[in-house]
Amino acid sequence: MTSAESGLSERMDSISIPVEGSPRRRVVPWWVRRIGGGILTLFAVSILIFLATQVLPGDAAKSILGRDATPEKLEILRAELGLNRPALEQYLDWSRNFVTGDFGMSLVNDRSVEELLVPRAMNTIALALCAILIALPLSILLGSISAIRRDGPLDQGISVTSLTFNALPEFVIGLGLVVIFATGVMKIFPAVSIFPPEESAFSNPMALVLPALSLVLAISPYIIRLVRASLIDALDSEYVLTARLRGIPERRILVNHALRNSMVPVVHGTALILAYLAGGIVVIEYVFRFPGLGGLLLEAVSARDLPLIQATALFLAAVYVVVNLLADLLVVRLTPRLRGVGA
Amino acid sequence: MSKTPLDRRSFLLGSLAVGGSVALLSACGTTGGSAGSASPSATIAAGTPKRGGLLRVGLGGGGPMETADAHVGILANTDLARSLNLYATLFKRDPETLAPLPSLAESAESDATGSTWTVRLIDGAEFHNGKSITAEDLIFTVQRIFEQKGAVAELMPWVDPAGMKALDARTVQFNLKSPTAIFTEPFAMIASGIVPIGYDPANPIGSGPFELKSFTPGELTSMKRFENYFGDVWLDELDFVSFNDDSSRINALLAGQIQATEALPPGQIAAVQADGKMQIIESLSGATRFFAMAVDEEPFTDVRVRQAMRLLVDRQQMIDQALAGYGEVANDTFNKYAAMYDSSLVREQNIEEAKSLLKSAGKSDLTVELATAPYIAGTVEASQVLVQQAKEAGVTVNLKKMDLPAYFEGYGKWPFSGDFFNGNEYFIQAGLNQLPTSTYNITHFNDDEYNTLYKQGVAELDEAKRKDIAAQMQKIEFDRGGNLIWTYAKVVDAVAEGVNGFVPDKYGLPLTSYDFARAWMS
Repeated sequence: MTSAESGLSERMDSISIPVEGSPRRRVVPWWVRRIGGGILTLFAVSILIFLATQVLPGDAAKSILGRDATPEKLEILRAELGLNRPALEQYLDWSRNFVTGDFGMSLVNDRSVEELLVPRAMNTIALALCAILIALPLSILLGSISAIRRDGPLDQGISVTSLTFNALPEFVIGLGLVVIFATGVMKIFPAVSIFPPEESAFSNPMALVLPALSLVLAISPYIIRLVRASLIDALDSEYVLTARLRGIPERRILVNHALRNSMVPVVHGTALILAYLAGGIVVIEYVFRFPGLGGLLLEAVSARDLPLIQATALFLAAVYVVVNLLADLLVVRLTPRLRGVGA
Repeated sequence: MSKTPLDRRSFLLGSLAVGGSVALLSACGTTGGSAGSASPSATIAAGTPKRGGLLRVGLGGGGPMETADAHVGILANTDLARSLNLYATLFKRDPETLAPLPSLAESAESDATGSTWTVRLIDGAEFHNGKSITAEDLIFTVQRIFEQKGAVAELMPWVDPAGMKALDARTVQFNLKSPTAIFTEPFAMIASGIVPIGYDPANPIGSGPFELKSFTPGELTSMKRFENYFGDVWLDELDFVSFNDDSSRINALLAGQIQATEALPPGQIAAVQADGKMQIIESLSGATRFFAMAVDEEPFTDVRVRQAMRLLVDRQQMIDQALAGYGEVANDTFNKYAAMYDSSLVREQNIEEAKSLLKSAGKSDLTVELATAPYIAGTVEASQVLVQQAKEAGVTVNLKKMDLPAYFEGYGKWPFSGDFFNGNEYFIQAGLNQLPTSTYNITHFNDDEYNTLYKQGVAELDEAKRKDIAAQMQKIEFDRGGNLIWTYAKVVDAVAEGVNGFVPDKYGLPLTSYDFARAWMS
């Protein structure tokens, strides 16, 4: 068994596909149970977030009033915001509204959580899509070249370059691009995103260029190395050897057999990267003043804006759950052996 | 003399500002800027102003809490800038002398004792919605400031919200609770903007040089010129862009996406200068940065400990290391550029004396905890410098570093923390943080002699006598107060080539106290 396949079977174990399960358990497909598990996870996350915000010093009233927070003003504002109620009551109220689709109002300004969250989420999706749509084909191409030309000068060149970018923190990549393309050598692209809040990043493609490019440079090395390693495994496998002995053309072996099988770890790697892109690009958002979700969550935390923290964090957790589920579904499609199992 | 205390030159400036003569105003702006400033960049206001253009300004430290309210919640720099451009105030501070000059007020006169003041509004001024500004609007505004417990309410304790009377359409008589000589001062402050009767902060109508087009907290504020403003406005449009990160703010300037930005972090000034196409505006100012020891908390209850802490600091070194040299040495007294400042009070580092004071207080191996947060640029760094300097005198300072909400959670309760102020008039400053009633009195200073002098001073119409009282008060702060005031900050702003009109400002607010009515593009 190749290491790619063994990785896969571990993965499948971890999502507990009941290969030998009883007929009655098979009535509920594994992905339905995964969705149920996902919902339970989100519920647990919401409790954790709530507890964490209770532990943080300071509350929304304090952060609104800042150093003007006299006890008198604080009391009025806390009553207004409902912060003087018992913690459990606050949580239950919030969760009751949340499940009915009412995400509540931001505590620090007169806008609904939805109104704040949706545009930011759209911007993040725009940026993440741009990055992944460029990074994925590019990385598969470069990773495949590396694997086919293993240890040749091309492979070494790609490896050294991608390792270099891998070693650089994202903000260094971002600032480097700004110096080259925005403020210093060439002034071609904007250094930061400034567009009216009612517009989305989709309608301001120029603002996406440098942040997306930074992300491509930050995530590609990881995918390139994944592709290279798993393709090398596949090319060394017995079925490829068999195919070669049967005289099947090398190109067909590569595309139809080796590459296809080596995609399984890449799919999971990409899922992890997508989850990371949804929430972990705070640094890039900061450098480019990009109005995305990571920045929104940071702002919400520093303002102790509980409904906004809850909704944003839950959204990110949901992305994580959904993306991983999709990746597993895709892996089942890619792996004939698993088709029909447990379904 | 019972008229607003103004010297001839600033009075002339003020009447011109109100009169609105185009060329003369700009000429005065230039004179005002270069006359008293040592900075070579002060000639930025040269040339003949012309109309037109969109100026995009990058401002730091904004966030979701930003507000467009005229009177409450004005905390972030973006709030200050928005407030000062949407709402006209009765008086406006001269950037050089810091004297309050008539703006929306034509005059303010007191009776012989200072217990009744009469404010006359200029003729023909309008709100953004076209309504004339009347005496009733002024009365409504002052009442709203008190009802909403706005920041300036505390600075005019003599004003009786029920004691105002409209004498005619543009004259209001203020019958005060107690006499005062500095009636006009709070009306030159931010958050004292005049609003129309029935004002709704959701629809922020004022009479400032710009009217609001759109506002998204933490992101973007778009404004356009108010065509019927009572003074001159040159720009067609004005945008404020909020930034969380200083580097991206500077990058936006260098990339030409914004044309002006405020308060460059000391470490970034060289990068902006190197660009060659940026103009740097340096302002020496009376804005202070300081540490605060609570006089009613151990170990600071002993005045010897407080004085020892003040003596162990090498202020110049602190400025060099924490602010890259962008500051002037302060001596535990406020605003160096205030008319009432007493320059005879000087404190230099003296480790031996600090040690001997601590020894006599029985605190030779003193350990204290300093609460700090990045509430203004350089504070955390200065706290770290203090840790080092204190070691020399055998004092251990443990830093308690926090984010802003955590810091403000304990604001006013930390035994040892820090704060900052702009270059306020002396008695205003005393009202802000040295009286038992002051919101910002984080040292809990409550000195009977000082409190009595304050009451005498604010009511003293004779300027020389008032200055004498202020000197006695500063001596008390110097001898037994709780503030360790180490610097008057130097504010460094940058504007792109072709942006004109700004002059250095002693108040300490960036970009000539965000006075964008004076800005024009060539």
